[in-house]
Amino acid sequence: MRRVTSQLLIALVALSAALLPAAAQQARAEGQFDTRLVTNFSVGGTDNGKFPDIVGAGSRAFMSVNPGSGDNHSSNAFNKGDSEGSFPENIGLGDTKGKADYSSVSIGANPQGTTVGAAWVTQDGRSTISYRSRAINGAWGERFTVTTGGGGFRVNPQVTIAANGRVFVIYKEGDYARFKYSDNGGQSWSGAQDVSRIAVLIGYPQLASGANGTVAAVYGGGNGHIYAGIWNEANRSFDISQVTTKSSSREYYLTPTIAVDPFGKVYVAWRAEYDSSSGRSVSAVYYSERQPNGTWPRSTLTNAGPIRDAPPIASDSKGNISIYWLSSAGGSAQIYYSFKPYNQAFQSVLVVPGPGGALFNGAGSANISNRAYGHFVVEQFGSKLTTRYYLFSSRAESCDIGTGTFTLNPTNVVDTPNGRVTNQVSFNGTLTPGSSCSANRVILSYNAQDNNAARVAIAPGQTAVVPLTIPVSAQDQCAQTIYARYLKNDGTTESFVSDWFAATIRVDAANPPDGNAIDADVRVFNRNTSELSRWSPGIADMQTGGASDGHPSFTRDKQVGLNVRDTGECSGLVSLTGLGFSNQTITGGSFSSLLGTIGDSANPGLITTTASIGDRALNIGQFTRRIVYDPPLDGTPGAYDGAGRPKLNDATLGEANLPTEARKSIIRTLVFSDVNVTDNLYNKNYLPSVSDNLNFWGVWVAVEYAGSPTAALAPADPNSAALVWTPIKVDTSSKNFTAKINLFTSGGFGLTSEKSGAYRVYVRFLDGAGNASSGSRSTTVTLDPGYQLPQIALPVVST
Amino acid sequence: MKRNRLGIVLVAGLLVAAVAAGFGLTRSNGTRAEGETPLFTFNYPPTPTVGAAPAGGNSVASASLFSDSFENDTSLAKWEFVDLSFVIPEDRALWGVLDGRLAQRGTVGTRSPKPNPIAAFAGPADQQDYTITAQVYDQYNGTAGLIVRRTGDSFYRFRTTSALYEASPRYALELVQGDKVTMIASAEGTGYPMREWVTLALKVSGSEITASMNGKTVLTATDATLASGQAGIYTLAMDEIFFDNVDVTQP
Repeated sequence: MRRVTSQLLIALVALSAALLPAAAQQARAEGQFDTRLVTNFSVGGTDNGKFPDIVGAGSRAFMSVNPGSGDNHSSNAFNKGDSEGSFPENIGLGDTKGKADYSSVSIGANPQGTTVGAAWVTQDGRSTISYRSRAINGAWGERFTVTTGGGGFRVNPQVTIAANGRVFVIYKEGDYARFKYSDNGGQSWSGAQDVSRIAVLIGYPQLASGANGTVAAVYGGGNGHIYAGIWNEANRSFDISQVTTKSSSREYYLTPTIAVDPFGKVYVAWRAEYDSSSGRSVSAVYYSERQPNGTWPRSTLTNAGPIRDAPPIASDSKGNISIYWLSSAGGSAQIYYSFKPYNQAFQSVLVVPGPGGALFNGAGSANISNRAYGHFVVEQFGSKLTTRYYLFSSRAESCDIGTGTFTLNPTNVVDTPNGRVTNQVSFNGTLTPGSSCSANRVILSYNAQDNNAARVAIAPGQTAVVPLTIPVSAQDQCAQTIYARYLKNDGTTESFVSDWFAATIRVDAANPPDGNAIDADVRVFNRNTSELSRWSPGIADMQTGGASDGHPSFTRDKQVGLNVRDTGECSGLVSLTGLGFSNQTITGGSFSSLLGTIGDSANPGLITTTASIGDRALNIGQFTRRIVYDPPLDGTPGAYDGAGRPKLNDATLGEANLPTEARKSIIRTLVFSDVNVTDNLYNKNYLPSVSDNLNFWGVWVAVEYAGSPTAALAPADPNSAALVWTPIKVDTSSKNFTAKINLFTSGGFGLTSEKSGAYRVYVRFLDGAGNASSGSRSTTVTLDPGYQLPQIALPVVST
Repeated sequence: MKRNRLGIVLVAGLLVAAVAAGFGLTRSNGTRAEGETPLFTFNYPPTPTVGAAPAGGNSVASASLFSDSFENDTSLAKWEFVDLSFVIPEDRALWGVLDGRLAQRGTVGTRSPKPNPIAAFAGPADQQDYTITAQVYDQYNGTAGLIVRRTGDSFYRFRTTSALYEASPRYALELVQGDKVTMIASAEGTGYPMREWVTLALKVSGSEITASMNGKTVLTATDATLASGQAGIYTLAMDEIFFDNVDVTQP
């Protein structure tokens, strides 16, 4: 009894299976996207037609093929609703002559899905290519000639229409792919151009266009490589790149197809067909998505061959990808279909057994309306040659995210020459989908497209206001790019339904992690320092009563320099308050001035000053600076008797022993020994780097000439008003050191060849404020006749 | 009889179930297959190995006019390969010697199968009465045949199709004169089995033409249009059909 029952059940299952339409049994629903084979059938009126083509446009599917017999065929266009189970419309576009393989017709559409165009070739002795077009809900327009005569044997024209309406027709002529385009719907055409001459063409080229204006072509080269071209509007040509790489010369790639999604991403699929070095037959389908840097990473979809002909790849208007291929891997020809939801992975393959006979020259397309549809047509060769049509469908998002917007809404926003700036690190962003959409999550990612970043729930289909906070780790940087991406989460699975949106803003945080609300360099400095011009080119050296150089943080004058400089401020410096200024405008990122009086006290010693600097983002930074007020305190001005001057306690000055030739140099080396200098302020108490008993910043050098090569020097007088003193910085922690001088520069003589003879060199010691010691030392040097003048004036240096 | 029918239906049902399960289709882990790991793999049984062709079927008493067992590539020089319809260069049929057999491998450019009629001719060009036999193993092609008395683009052709196609007739004897094809005999049947060695023979004697498969006569005809010519093999440029042990003999 049990056996009878089981046999009956098997029979019933088998019977029901036999009664169902074969294809409906064979396709299986695929996961969350419910991918399925809707129908398949042989298209009536296609006998002996070659190279059927199909395009999804709007919510319709348009097919073309060239039925006929012998050398007499007709280029026909078929048309149906995307989900319909038959093609109710079959219209002849024009008759063709010649073998059907070489008098084919193709069909294409614009990315908006509003216009369809067909191009076909007739072997009338002139290989004439014709074009007709129509609105998807209109009638076919008149025939225009794309090209005729004057060239080689043209075959396999392919057509696409760019988003701007430009019609492209590409075809094989001789060994190469050529193309023409029309900007007036086919009435007139550009001259024919080669797509590329990098490699001869094998098979026939393909075209695709995307909603963002991208137009792309692809072809297989006779060298076994795949080449893709992106339309270059400026050059009116295709920029060609090699899609494939080979690890051995045996590898051979061919029959590529191409798709462009609405966002301009370009996809190429192709197959391999070769015998490996081990004799193994390699047959595979590959896929690549062009990267922003122009590279083509390769993915292997399958290596279950033999693969037949091209693997058509297509994008619908939402960026969902459909790919098809034919393989006899299972022992007979079967159709393989995979759906790749926008920005997600390829879903499991649907395998549809063929109807018997052989299948080849498949073409595929995709469109989206109430579902995402995949359309595939193929030559079926059995008792006769006909066109067979397969319709796949998947559940797909219909969000029109592509026209959505993402904006940032911080407070405290100011417009700057560099863009909008806020000093807030937390604010809101607003996401608005292009139309009603079921996305109910948003990923928010900061300065990187991180699919694992935090999710924020949003109301489906509604404008969403989402809270944003710049991560602490990124708050020190100025420009912030915030990425947002829509998701759909149905409670068990999550899927992306948009690409990344990006919005940028400059964030000049009020309380950044490094504590510097204002990125500025503020200096209060000795106006006599030689570094003055570097810091404050607008301030003139106003040397008074001392050396024309010194330490920046010691000043003998109450008037000191001020410099404020932008060191990477995000919003830009705008104001200065304090140091005698009130809301002083800072322009161009810097401000320099002389401060009339520093501090509140005229007493020598450390003076502390504070400046408040403001930026455009309304941040304020306090900058406290210190400078040592160190006047000479002379009883009589210029008398070298003040307590503020360095005190020379001991020192020996001489010149290094010189070989004869060195006495013909104006550059001489002074030798200091047993130096002992003390100072009231330029010492460790105020500057830790200063050594005990070496309380000097440098030496002050004056040079006196005897007057002629043979004259004797006058008696030494370091207080002579005729002496010109030059400061030399000495950075030493030793009481014994040397310093090089230029006799002519230090003497103020200029370059001359007539001043050989005796020189006296005077030296005083300088503190940081440029106060010279009352004590001095001198030594004599001799410049021999025939001395050489330097070609370039040398600076005075110390060693 | 009932049991047999049920058995056929059961096989069909099991096939449907197998297909519905995607042939054990698996998808590799990960959202995207980078590099050489296929994203999609299929647990198909391996394609059967093409076994050695059985010994030739000609009588030892026959006088050999031509014989080729395709031991190596040098065999190709004995043959004239002809595309019987107009094709551009890259659509020419691709032939080669593979594992000691003559293999048809689609077309030279894209390696794609195309249903273009093609032939390979060999042996004496002016022979009148003879028999050509060939062993054929069809992996995916679907059409095989033999040719006799070929001169230029005229010949007698015996062609048969495999069960791969819903073809009618299954067996045909045709007089081909350029683009003109005249059916001189035909028969229905099951055609030849795929992926098995099949011996085809075509005998011409006077005006009598006899075609046989695996030693059984499938077609006879009388036609005196062509008196002599070369022998050959026939198929379509559909890939994956093998010929071996081609013999042209006189009685």
